[in-house]
Amino acid sequence: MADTLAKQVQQACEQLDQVILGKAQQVRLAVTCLLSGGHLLIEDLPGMGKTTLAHALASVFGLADSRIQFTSDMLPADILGVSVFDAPSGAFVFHPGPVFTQLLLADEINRTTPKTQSALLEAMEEGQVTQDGETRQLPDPFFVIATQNPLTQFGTFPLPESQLDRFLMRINLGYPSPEAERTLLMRGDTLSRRQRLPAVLSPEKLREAQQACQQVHASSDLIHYVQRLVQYTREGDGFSYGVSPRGALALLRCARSWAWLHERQHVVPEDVQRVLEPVVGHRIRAAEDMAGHTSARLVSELLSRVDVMASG
Amino acid sequence: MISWPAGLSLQREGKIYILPTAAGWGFVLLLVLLLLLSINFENNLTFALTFLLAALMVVAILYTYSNLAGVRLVRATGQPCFAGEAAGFTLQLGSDTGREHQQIQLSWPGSLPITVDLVEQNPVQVELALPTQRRGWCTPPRVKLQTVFPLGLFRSWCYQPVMARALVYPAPLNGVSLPSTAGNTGQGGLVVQSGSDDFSDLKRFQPGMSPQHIAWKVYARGQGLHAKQYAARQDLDIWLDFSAWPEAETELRLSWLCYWALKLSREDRCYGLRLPDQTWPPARGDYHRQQVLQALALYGQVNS
Amino acid sequence: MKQVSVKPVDKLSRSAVLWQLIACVAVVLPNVVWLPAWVLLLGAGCIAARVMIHTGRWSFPHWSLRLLLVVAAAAGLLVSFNRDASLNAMVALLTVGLALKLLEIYRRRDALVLLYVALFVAATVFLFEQSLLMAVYMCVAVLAVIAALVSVWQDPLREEMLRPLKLASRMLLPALPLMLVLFFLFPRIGPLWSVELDRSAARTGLSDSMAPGDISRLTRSDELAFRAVFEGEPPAPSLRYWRVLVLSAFDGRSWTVGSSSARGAEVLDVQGETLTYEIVQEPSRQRWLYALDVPLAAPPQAQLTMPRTLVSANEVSQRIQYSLTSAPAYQLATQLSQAERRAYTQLPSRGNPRSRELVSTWLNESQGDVVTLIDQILAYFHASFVYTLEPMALGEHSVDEFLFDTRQGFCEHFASATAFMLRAADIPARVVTGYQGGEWNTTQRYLTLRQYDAHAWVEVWIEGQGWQRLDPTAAVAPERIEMSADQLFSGQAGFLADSPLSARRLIRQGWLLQARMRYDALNFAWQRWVLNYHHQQQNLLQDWLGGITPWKMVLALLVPGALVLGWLAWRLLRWPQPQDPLQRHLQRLLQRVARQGFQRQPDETLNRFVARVAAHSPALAEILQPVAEAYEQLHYAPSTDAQARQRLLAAMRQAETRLKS
Repeated sequence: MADTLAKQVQQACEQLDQVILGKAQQVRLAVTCLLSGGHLLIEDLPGMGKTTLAHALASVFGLADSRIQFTSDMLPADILGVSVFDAPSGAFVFHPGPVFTQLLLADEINRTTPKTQSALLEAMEEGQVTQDGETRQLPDPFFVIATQNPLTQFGTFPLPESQLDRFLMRINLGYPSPEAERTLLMRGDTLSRRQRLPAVLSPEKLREAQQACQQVHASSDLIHYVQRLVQYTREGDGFSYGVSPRGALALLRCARSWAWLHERQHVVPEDVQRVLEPVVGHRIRAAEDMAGHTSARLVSELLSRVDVMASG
Repeated sequence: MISWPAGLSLQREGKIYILPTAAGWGFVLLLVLLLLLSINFENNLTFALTFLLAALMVVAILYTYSNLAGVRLVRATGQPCFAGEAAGFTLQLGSDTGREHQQIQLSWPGSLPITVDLVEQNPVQVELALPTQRRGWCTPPRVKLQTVFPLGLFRSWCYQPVMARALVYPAPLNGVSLPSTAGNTGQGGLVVQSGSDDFSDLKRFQPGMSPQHIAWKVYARGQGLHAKQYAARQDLDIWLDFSAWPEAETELRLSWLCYWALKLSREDRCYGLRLPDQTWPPARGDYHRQQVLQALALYGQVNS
Repeated sequence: MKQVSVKPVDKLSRSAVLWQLIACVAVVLPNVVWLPAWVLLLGAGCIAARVMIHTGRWSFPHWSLRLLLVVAAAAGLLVSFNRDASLNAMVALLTVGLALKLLEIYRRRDALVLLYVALFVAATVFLFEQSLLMAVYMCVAVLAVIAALVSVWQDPLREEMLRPLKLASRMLLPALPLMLVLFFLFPRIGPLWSVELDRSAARTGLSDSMAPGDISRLTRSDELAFRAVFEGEPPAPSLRYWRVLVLSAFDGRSWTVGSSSARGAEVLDVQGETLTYEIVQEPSRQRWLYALDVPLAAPPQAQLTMPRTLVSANEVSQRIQYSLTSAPAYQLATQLSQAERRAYTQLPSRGNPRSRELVSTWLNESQGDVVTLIDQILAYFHASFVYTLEPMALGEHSVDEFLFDTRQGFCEHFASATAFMLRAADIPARVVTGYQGGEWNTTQRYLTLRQYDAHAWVEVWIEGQGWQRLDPTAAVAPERIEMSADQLFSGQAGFLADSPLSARRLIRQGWLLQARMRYDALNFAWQRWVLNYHHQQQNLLQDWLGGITPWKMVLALLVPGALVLGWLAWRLLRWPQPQDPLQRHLQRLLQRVARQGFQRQPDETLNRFVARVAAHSPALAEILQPVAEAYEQLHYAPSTDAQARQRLLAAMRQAETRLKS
């Protein structure tokens, strides 16, 4: 049963590959993030296919989706929804905001004010919205793909570290490879391709898959490895601060999902290594004397410092 | 991006050579003098001291050898540079012997040697510079590790291959002005720039906007707080075109292009690159600059 | 590939500078006792200046100041040592050099010159003092120099003082056994050219004449005269007469050796067993050697005189060692020529009239019987004489005054009076000086003879029996012969008057005595086996190696050397071994693969490693694949049972055998 489900998810991934060309790795990481029940942050330039990825994910998994383009004049209510006085009924009627969906694409989240950002992040964290003293549950698979543009700094509000921690993964898509781009150019408009994507899975199946993922076995040796990696980010040279316990849990959860996605009954260190950069990259920072080291560089440093096969 | 480190050193440490240093020969001379003293005075305690020092010298051979044995280049990465400059290589030196290794000197022929200790830190990173002449990939020769520690009587050395390469960009040369109408087809884009002085429109003020841009006159009219938006209209995307100077030789042209790519990047302008076999559409930013420089460095070279 | 060696950092660390100071002080310290005061002042001044420079209060001295100091020091040396190119002058020169060099150590090269000279100075210390304590001290000093050498070569930013010391001791420790092997085997050849030794030391011990008071003066000193090592039992205390000089000429007051004819040694007829022993003689600045009464033959480079005493070819200016055989029971010179008889009965024609009269009275009573006369003399002494360390001074007729007035004396008084009386009775007699007794060290089986053991006795010639030993002291104070001088005289004021703080005065019994004996034995062993090793080497090597051949020497050098160095190499070069057999197997396997050019990186799991190997060598990867799979099963799969361990072990064994073939 689990196998067939994993197969189905793999089919979904292959479907996505048809739309997001040459980004198999990123597609699988996004799916892993979805399977782990966390939210995804994509840091990239505009026009790299973030929106396409979000829409394609939604249609393949049969999720309802909506998109918010963040601007600097946006208010929390613009996202969460407002209560409007309805004259005929003589009562306030709640008009749900775009957040009430299963897959939310929050575009350019760093363009809006911290107040609005935190409204969304709280909704993400708690899975519910509290407005005018009333708490409303968000739909069950609730998955946020937020994007932020790393280059434009003027008039933006970069997410603070504490908020970054709420995203399970951070990835960037990057430019397509030359041949992928050629294919893209030849095929023309991507929107038409996306509309033809059939739903391979249902939200129920997704929930089932999410549960199956967390059943994947993680041996004590593997947990040791995860622990040593996390420990190194806290004690090793070159880190100004390390991964929080929440980050450590996230790492293991993602490694499990990755293993499940690749039809393994147990997690192997390779799974941890594959998801390490997306899960940990935005939770660590280089020490002052290592300034300028990108998180990718730090993570590769981390990998080379912690021996996989060290016993104990 | 996830990628496995490329510069893995496949080689275990090579053969270790060991020979006395000048100080070592001096020590031998001292031993001979001491032996003469002992023989002539028939003094057994000076004999003992002479033999102790001789034995120490033998022991020093082992110590000097073991100080180098087990040290290896764990990994190496090269940083890009411009032709004629020294390419920086980050070498990671490590050992899994559990011993201390002190005063290991790394050097390439013609480069300034660097001495490190593998004591508190293991592995340890060093930056070693290698002078370059031509653009393209710079593959360093084997690095020489040598040490005279602990007594300076012997010098042991070995060579280890460096599994890394550094990209050498063409040397930037300021010689020509950029042809302003270098074949452009696209529309000029509107680019918001803080430094520009063309007033574009008013926007509702949001916290986080620069207070310098608040339109006080509008505010004074009671129309609320607004910020002035400035924009510079850029008529043309700049193209760096290899074929712009047909008379100049290839290397010279690449150097000019390199100069302009750097200059435009510094000014945060949007520019593209056109080489006979490749075209990079106009863009800006570090990533773009890097791509452009790499294309210039590797132009016409067999990509390995 | 020839390359120009550039040394950007050639400076010394601050701890290295301190170590230079410590090393210099350590090697110069033993010479402080004899170096001229101005050299010490110069040294102290240089050290102080260097400390000021070290702390940054002063800068390095200008070259002109240094030149001035060098010139001044050279002039000082010329004046102090009177242009005498002696050993002391050389060491003083080196010490001055060290002190001045201290002022300018800044780079590695300066420090190296300084330390090499310091090592040479350390060696010269042994030319002046060779005690066990000094050797131990010099070990520490050499350790300091080596630590200084290590500190010169270490990272100039390291400040810990103990770090170079630890490494230096770790290096010196394995050098010690190697040093011992070399010490044992290195052939000792004689000096290549003659060297001037220190000639200023005073002559000690017995002299070649004996006047009243000469011997008792020796009891004021506990200086070591010699030691005798016995292979078996030592002779009984009453037989411990050590013969040094035979005095046969008397001038009325003092006895001298007199003219000896060039005849060979007197004929010796050995009766009973002989004793073989070895003498280790302290430098006496005299020519005579010591032998137990009476030696059979002379050792090499010495001669037997006519009255069977030993004379060396040269003055004994260093501690020497020789083997002897003596016969405690003997008959010496049963025949005496007329000339000899005349010589041994010769007396001054005048003087000591009362004594001559007494002898002639006794001769009449005994009717010329020699033995009766001797008994009478001894009985006379025994009746009313006092044996004392501090007898009264004697005048012109010394024998008369002793026999009739003072009636107290030390051995030389009794011996002199006895020989006089015998000669007055026309019986051949002579005085023998030497040592009597000795302290028996039970732990190392040797006798120690000190100056206070000096003694004088008489030899009388009896028809048919030859020369017989006659010790009149035994008649007065038999305990002198049975007990050691130390025990006997302990209460007397004059005893050891020159060494008031001697341990001998304080320690005469109990465990302290035991401790002193052991310390003495240790010192003696040190002298015999280390300081005088060149005397022993030949015999020792013969015994141990069973004959000295170059082949055996080389083998004896190489085998222990290889053992020590092999052990050290194993200590230094081994990799840390994991305890778990699985880990150990795995490490061995990976090392084997590494030798083929594939080193696993820390971030590589076995699977990824094998994948990388496969790209270069599919055959090798194929061998390793089962290991990687079994490893993953054991460490990461859900059920880890004992079988998984066995499977991994089996897979590794199989891979290893396949790798070997």
